[in-house]
Amino acid sequence: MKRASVCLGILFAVVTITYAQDPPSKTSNRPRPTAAGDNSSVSSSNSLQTQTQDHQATPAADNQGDEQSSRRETHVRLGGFVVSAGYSHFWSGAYPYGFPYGPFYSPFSAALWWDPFWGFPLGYPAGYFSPGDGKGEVKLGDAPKNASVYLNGGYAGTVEHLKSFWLDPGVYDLVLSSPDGREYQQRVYVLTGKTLKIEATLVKPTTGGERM
Amino acid sequence: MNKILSSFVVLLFVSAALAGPKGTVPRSSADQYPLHAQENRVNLGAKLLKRDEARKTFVSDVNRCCIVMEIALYPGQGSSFNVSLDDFALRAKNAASATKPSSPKIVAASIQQKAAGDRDVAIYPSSGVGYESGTAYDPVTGAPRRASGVSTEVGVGVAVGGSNGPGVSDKDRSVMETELTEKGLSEGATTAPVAGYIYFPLSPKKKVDYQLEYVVEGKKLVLPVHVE
Repeated sequence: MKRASVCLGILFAVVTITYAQDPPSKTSNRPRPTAAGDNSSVSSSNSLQTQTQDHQATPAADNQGDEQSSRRETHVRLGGFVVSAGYSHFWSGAYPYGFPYGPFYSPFSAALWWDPFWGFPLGYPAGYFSPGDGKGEVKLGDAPKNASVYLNGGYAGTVEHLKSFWLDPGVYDLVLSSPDGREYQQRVYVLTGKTLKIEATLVKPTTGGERM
Repeated sequence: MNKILSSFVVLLFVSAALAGPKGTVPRSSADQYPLHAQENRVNLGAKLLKRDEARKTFVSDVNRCCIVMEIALYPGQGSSFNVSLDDFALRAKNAASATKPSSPKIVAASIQQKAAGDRDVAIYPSSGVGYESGTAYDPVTGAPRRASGVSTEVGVGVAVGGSNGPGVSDKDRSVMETELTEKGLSEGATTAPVAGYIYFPLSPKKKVDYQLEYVVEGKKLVLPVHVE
């Protein structure tokens, strides 16, 4: 006796990512900007283009420092979905090899799946750059609004939307890239409650130039 | 087998040590620095970072603890030498003792300790003006009569708490250590010019005449340093 079954299924893949306070810093191979000339006493990462200022701490937040420093945040987001369809048939008669067809035996199968992160750098979840206790602020100035912002190699958004953003304390490789090919790279050190003002001047990357 | 394993471990450490940027870009020659001296096999260039320069160069608040100097070393043609922080010292003029530079780890811990020692003091002044009216009874005759008055009050509230500012948490200390290490003078043998910052655990607020001493191959190079 022949039995058949048809199944359709949709599977949503939920990706859970736990971010610690310090996202791992990836060493970037992009050349550093050449804004600092030959006679400059400092490297581009130390270029005197950053100014910092402390935020005034409020007494109400006094006791939150240690808690915030060890806090971890968990973000859950939809990673993609899988749509599958299949047709199976079972033969009730004796199988010559002594065992029946397995339940996964299927003459037909089809699957359609979509992963928004496949082949693309992992983006940052919503709210990642929003203000919060225990974070430091980064302000971008003098950069084209349509320039893309990359943090540790991951796309973060455009300058238009990230004129001011907040990060957990850590060391980040910040890259601004404009559609016309100009770039700016800076190693950024973010401390709790400090504002880092970056006057980014984008320049054309030199081929075979200095790499650090 | 052990040799292979130990080689692998050494390779890992070397890779980790070379992973990040180190130091600053040396200028074209030592005499491009405000302070410079020459010895047979090495040229020394140095620059004292003023407080506002240090504030712009570092995210870490190095002014809390240290005098920062940028050092550049230029080996002679075809020669190599070993760079070590122990070869540097900062001595107050005519003083018997000198101060050696601190490692980035010590400096970061020092900044954290001083930041944690800060206290946030908030003062809340308050003032109020009130008006009251009602029936009052004469204490002698007992007769009721209408009465009204204006009251004023002034107060000050003071709140004292621990600092929640930059550099307090362990995470901040780790970031500061990374920054100070990456911008610091790299140690080890070199045949090419190297430059970077060194950190002396001395107050940059005091106006003192120092001299920077650098010992290379038994010879001492001395540069005058004036902290303003």
